[in-house]
Amino acid sequence: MATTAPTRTSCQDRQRRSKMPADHGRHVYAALLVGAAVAVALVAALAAWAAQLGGGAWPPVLIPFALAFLVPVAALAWLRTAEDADQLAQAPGGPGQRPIPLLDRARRGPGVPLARRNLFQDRRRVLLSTGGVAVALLLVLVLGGIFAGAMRQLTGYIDHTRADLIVSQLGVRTMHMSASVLRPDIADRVLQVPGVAWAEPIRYTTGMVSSPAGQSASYVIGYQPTARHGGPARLVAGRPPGAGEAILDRQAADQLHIRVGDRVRILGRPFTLVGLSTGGTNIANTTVFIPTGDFARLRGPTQAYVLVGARPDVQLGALAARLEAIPPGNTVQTRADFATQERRLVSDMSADLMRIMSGIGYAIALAVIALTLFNVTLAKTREYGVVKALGARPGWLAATVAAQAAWSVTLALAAATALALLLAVVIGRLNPALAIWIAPGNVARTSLVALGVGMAGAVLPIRRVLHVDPAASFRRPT
Amino acid sequence: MTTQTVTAPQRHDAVLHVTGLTKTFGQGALAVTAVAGVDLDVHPGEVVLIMGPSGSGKTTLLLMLGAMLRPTSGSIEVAGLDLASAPERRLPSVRAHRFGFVFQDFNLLGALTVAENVELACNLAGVTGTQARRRARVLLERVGLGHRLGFRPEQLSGGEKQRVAIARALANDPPVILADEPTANLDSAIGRQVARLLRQLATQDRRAVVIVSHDARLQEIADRVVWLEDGIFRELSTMATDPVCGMTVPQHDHPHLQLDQTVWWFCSTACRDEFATNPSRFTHRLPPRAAVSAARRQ
Repeated sequence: MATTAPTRTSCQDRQRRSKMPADHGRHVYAALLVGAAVAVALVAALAAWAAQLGGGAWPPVLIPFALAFLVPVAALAWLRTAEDADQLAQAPGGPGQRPIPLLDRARRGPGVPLARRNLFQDRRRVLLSTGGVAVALLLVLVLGGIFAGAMRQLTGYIDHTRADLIVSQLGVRTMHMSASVLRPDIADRVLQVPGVAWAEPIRYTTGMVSSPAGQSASYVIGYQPTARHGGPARLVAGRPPGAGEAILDRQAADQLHIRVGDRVRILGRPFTLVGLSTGGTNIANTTVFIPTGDFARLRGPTQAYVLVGARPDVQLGALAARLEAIPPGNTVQTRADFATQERRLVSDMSADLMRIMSGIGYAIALAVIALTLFNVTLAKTREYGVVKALGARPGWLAATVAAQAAWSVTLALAAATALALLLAVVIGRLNPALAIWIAPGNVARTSLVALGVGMAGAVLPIRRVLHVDPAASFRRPT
Repeated sequence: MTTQTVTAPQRHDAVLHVTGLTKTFGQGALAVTAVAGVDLDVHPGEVVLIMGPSGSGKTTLLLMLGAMLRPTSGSIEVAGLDLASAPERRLPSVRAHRFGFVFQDFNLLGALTVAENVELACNLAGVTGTQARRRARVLLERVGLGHRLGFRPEQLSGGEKQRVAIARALANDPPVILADEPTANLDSAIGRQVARLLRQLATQDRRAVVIVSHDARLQEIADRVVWLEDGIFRELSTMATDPVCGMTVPQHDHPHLQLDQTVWWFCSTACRDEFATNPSRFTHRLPPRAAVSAARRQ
């Protein structure tokens, strides 16, 4: 039993303060340095993500993580000055003593992390609940990733045409689910318009590519093999097609078990496969290229679209207006607008399904979070009563429970994002046709909704905590 | 005539002033009055022990004193603030700043370490970060647990847990400590240590300590013992210390001896007779409580 000097504790506190080493400060610094190390690891891990997004997407990805470096450094400096100020500080704020300013209090550091301690007291429960929420969020992220990946693949052909403008039949704004019919001599008329550098007509329809091993839905594009535009983005094998020959996307060729030199049926007619391209297969279909003459023999002389290159000094808006005026009138869009329309069409077609699946994912997350928090709160009811008896305000208690929800969601989000990135890489290698693109926007959106779900899941536990009777702490536990 | 024991000081000294405190549960024919018109003043440095049979209203009284239960009527003034009429939103702050609580079941938070349990009470009183951690350490060293800072409550013995609870009760530097059966779950030796610690807090820190208990051993450290039965104070004993054997005895109904206008109380006539043979042999080793009482009396 203690037999220390008979003075008030606050006096002892004052006396000891100047002698005590800043053990805690060192712990904080160590923790911050570990945090910085974790941030380094995160940046390294996310480099793969950034690579997946392409060079242009690096800054938005790296800025938050650059901040993750700066924050610990700034915090170290801040705490250092706070500790100096601490040496000069008066006794802890109690009744009758000078109250500590809020900013000063904040600088001295946070209070006991009761929320985190309560949540992590039972590690198995945390693992199960975080795992449950993470799986639910993974479902949402991967669904969004598959959708985003499909969208990127969907416009792969358009994106690589290098056309400034695309001319189509009046009122037709897409390739998918569309049929555009332009007069056979449309390309010559387009070339006569001032400001046009080049114009390349393509013929287009959808159909099946068949081999003895199966068949695949395909965009069939008729193009002039000797032209610089309108063909596949890149040939990975073989050569451009001649009459009776075709180029197929490599992934489709693999699925159909055919090689260069094999025979395939396109639009019901036999063709010889003479080349393999890339970037033309998505989750829904593939792309096959045949000479425009063969296409005309099968489907007639009309053109579908004209890819237009503008002279460098020409305003695209004005040029588009001139092209639209070519009789009998056409629709002209920039390549970017055309791709956007294409994505919007497919997006609208599958939006309901995506919403339902995402909703299910969020509902599972909500159920898991609510159940976990409710269990934790129920198990801690008496302790919350004790804390209330000790003087905790309702807002403090509510914030504690909400912080538990935020912790659950944050951990689950981190796990789900990491797993989704891993899946994107692994599945991308195993099945290139199924591209999963984990976009920063998708992660941010999922995070926001998940935090909202977490807060919703905390409502019932918060209500329960607010109704805990502090007097219960004086009753014997049953 | 004077005695060597505590006499009731004036009201204006009281840190806790209770007048006509009544608590009735239910209404009409079903109404049960748990506490009926209790008056009580508790002064800095004083230990008041409230005893009584089960269901006598002890805990109800303690809850009202601790701003956790609204009285039906009456007033409770703590350092000038009437808890009975204070708005509900102010009560958490009152509890956080003016009371320290010691529970029978210790009520330490299992997810926190020993130091964090004390630090949390500092946080609730508005002290955070480094200062809270230092204060927690100082308090735990004071109760002899400086070597257990990082331990979990489950790793401590009952006596250690109660000492942590006492350190926690001191975290906000309260003028009043309310203890509910603080020795009930402790064995005899440890219970006595905890009782002495509570006495020490009253004597050294000039805190008022109100203890609700069945444990008659706590009479040894009490300045006053109040017997609560059916919600009213049946008996109020001012305690004295037998100068010969050191036993705590109530002033009424016990052998006593008047000497130089001071009344001395004894546990038995044998002690009284021994004292009478040579009083100076005993008066110089008065226990602290009697010495304090004598000073206050002057």
